[in-house]
Amino acid sequence: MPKDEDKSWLYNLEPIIERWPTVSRPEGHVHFRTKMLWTTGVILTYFILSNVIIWGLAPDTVDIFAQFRAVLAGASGSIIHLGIGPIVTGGIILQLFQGANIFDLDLQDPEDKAIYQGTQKLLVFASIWITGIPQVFGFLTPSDALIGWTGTGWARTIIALQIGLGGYFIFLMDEIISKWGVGSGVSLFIVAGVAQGLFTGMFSWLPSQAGAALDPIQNPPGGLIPKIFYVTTELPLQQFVSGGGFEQIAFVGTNSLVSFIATFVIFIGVVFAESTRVELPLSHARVRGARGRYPIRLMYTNVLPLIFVQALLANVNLIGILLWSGPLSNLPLVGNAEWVGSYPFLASGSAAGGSATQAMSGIAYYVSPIQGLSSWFTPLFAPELAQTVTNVAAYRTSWQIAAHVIVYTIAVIVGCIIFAIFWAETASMGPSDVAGKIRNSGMQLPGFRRDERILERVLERYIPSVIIISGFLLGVLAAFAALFGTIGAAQGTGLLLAIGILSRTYEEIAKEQMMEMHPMMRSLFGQG
Amino acid sequence: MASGEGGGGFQEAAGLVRYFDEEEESAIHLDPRLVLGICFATAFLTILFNWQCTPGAGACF
Repeated sequence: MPKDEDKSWLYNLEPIIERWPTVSRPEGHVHFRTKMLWTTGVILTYFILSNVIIWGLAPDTVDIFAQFRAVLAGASGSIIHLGIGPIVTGGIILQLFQGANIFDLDLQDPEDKAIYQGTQKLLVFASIWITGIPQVFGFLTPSDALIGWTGTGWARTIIALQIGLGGYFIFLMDEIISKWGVGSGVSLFIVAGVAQGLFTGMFSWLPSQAGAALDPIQNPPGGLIPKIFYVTTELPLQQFVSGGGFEQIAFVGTNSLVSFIATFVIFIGVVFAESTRVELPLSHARVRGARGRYPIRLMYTNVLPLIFVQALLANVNLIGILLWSGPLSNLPLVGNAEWVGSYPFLASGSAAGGSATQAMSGIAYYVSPIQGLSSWFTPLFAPELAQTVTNVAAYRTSWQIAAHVIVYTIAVIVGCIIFAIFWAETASMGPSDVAGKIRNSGMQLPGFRRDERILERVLERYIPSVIIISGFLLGVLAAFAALFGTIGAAQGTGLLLAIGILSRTYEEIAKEQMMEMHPMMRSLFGQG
Repeated sequence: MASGEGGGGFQEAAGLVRYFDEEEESAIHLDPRLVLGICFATAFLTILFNWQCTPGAGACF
């Protein structure tokens, strides 16, 4: 391959990229049934891996991704502890650099695309280790027995190797899905985690606080349905009305009636937004009578901007934790500093559950995800209901809690809009790219000349504004989900992602089946 | 790829831009069956270790 002067400097990585292992691609068309088979196989493997506990782990671990599990997938303490985090992080970094035109890559050129793809893989591999290795210092610590056997260094290496291997498995499985299955592994793993969370959130009969005895007010069952049943049967009517029984069902905890209603509203909202679209009529330039439509969706940029925003915030939190108590806490000014973010529950480890990684001050607090009513409603308006160990009201004043709500909401909405614009730019979704795509498929607007510029002008009426609206709408839905909470550990964002992904996957499956029936359609959908 | 620029190879992974169709041909190719096999084998081994091999408690197995 000749190395020209005007080629991107990323071509220096080519010797590595050329040899980097990759999952082989299917030759020719893969039948839909085969695709479903691979998808099922991978999701099965994923669930098995999520239940495989890292060997030699100390019983007391801290899940530093706890608040972002729904987005990052994976399972704490399992060998796929990292989930899709590295894939998303690697992808985002590259996309941001590409968007800022630092690489000088032309993503219409197949050769440049290959370099982009290869660099992305290297970045993902790097971020597996960058996010994996710090975990063994204080969060996923080796057990004393393992340390006694091999020494601290080796014990940490063994744990880190398992996490890294799991991270790489996720990466490879994602590649299998993308090449052999339906949709992408990244989306599939998110949906799998959220579905699991919704199920346990509805039906779990285990006490909300593990280890303690069941009690209708202090410690009811975790799932919504068993909780309603238990509280209504255990409490006498008078106590149910005035003794906190009703409040327990309606507001308290992750799985309350309010969060159930919010889950339902979000579901309807997302499905509605996903199915709203402007359809441009198209006709085939040569084949008379062949007509089609090009849909411009209201959710034009999909749920991606939200993943970006969440991943960004997750990284802020990660940095906050590492600066508070990790190997970096000795740094001057930023190490162990209140203004960056303090984590008072980190030391109690798994006893504090998901709250262990909740920042209670500083920048990290204001951009930390709102976890439903317990982050603002109960501490502000019903302090007697806030009974958890990690009551935010004990650390923050009312106006600080209110500021958190405002800052987080604005951050999510503005972030979604910015990333939507950014992504449409990077992913060739702008008017001229779409016009070229339609023209290449041999379609045209009926009644207009077959000219890309005319097509572009028509698309320009819709696409730029749709991009901004889709980002805004996504942000509003996400903020709503975060404020009112959702059933299970779905955490709003995760739910939003899952529903969006599912409705897209449904359409993709419909498309696949159409392609099975009409092989000609493949060219329009851009698959050989 | 039939549709040429823009259309082909672009994979939407909850939004990440990936070009799996444009990978280097010279790369080491892994059969997807092999990948899933390795995943299963690792899962099995780790479970076996967790079950049978407590560190420090003498020899494993």
